[in-house]
Amino acid sequence: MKLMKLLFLLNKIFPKYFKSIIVLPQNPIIIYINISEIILILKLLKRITIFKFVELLDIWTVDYFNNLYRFELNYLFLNLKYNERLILRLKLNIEQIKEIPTLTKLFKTANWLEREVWDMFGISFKKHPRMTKILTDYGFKGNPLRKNFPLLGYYEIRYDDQKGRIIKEKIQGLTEYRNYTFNYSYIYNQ
Amino acid sequence: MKYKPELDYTKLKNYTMNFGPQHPAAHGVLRLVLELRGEQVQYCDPHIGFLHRGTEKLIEYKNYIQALPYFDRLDYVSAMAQEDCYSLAVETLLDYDIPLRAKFIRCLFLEITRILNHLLAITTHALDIGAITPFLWAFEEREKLMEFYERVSGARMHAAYIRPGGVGYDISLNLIEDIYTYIPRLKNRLNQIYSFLSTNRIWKQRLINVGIIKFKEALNLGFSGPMLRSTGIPWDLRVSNPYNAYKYLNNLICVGSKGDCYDRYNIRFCEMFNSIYLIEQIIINLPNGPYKIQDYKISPPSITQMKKSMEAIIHHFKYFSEAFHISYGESYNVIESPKGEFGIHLISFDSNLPYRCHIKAPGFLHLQAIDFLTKSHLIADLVAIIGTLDIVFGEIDR
Repeated sequence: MKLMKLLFLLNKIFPKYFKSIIVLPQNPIIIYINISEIILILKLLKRITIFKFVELLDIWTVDYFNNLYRFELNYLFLNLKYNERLILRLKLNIEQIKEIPTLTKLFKTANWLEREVWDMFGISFKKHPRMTKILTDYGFKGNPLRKNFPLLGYYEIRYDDQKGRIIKEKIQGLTEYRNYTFNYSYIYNQ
Repeated sequence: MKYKPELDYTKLKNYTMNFGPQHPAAHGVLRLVLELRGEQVQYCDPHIGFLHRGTEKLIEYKNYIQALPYFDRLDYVSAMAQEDCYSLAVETLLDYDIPLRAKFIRCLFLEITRILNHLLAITTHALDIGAITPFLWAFEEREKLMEFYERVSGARMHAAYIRPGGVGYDISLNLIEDIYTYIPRLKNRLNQIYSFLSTNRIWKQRLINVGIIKFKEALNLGFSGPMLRSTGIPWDLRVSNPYNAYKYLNNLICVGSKGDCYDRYNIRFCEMFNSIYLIEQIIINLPNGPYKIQDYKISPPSITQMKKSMEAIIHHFKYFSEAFHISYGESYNVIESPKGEFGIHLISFDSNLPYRCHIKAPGFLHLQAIDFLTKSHLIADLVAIIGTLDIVFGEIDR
């Protein structure tokens, strides 16, 4: 709880940096920030001795396709000394997804984590040393974790006996995914 | 006529070499593109994703109880740790507290899982380096431990035993007795393997001062678990923020000093002995009581109740067809899985399906550091370093 006080202190010193703070039980503190200030805030949080969020553990994204600010980009930081976790959260609309600065200079962890976000959601990071796909196949196109990407995908890969090699085909004749949910409001309709 | 200088053949050039994805030392489907200078590794570029199954996407289309078995298949050598993390995430969303006996049973099987994982990690590491015997010994013990899995859940590996709201089945007195009588024999065998490896000159030559990492770099690279502890930081989530029944147990943290492969090997061994110590404590202190939540919205009713009451049958049908609904909310839960810090971010959206389930795998970040760890090491040391990272591709590729 000591850290919470410090965060409120920081919020008082720089009132415009933190848009809102959410505290959930048994969860890390969540802070909404702006894109333009993320590097500055992180430098403060990493280097000022009272904060010392030295470890970046995770970067991930959530896709709320109905909202104007479609993506939520999350950064999870850990303070080993006070045993505190902190989530910094950016809200992004479809135009902002090319403007995010990379964190690779501050945290080496960010390299692959940002590549994963780029692979899965198509959110790119400025000045990243190597912004390439990481988890999907070598010739893969599309961002599979976006909500408008179908579960079955677009293509299937199989071995063709006559051609004697592996071929890529459009998916045909498969049974459609049957949805048994009782709340249809958030399932993407194409 | 222009002067044409002769090519200097004495000058060595870097050359690139492919390693994997079907190399036995790659522990699965790791492909490395190595830039070598002689036998020294200059740059190491891992290519991952050969086992990518889209678990996170699939979970978005499954309800809360159907999503559970996917977690077994992430890190398939420490299956129950992932199940536990998911169950904790769902329980946090529901704001439920499970019975004490369920917590103790979970801890018991988490520690068995830890032993299973470390036995595999250490002995396949030894196998890569050239010692085959410990591998055979450890797999015999693993088989016996997996028998406990089988007796409690019916499955050897993908148990789906730890579920939201408690555990799948109650643990019998017979089984507890068998585990208690088995543990001294396991200890004996561990001592055998430890003395076999630790006194071996070749094993020491291959591990000591290989893959050294300092704690500042380890933090910068997002290490956790035994990899972080090898640098000297006593950081263990079972102690620092205890989940399940760990707050009732006396736990020790195994810490290294140098941060090399030999430290990590020792830490893994130390943790296995620590797990045995924890299992003994759990068996002695195992409380009586229900093994899952008695709320039939979250956990299915027992067969005897279904024979008696109509309501129980309705609840049973609803539970296995529709599962349960969770209103808007989110939770981020972390546990100390055998490989490191495993986390799940779960978002509920007033439905029976999770809106988003992000999985934070420890191996993903550890593998990222392979370029840093292998820089200017020999290519033979690369195999030792891959072994010490303890990577399993089920969780890295997800």
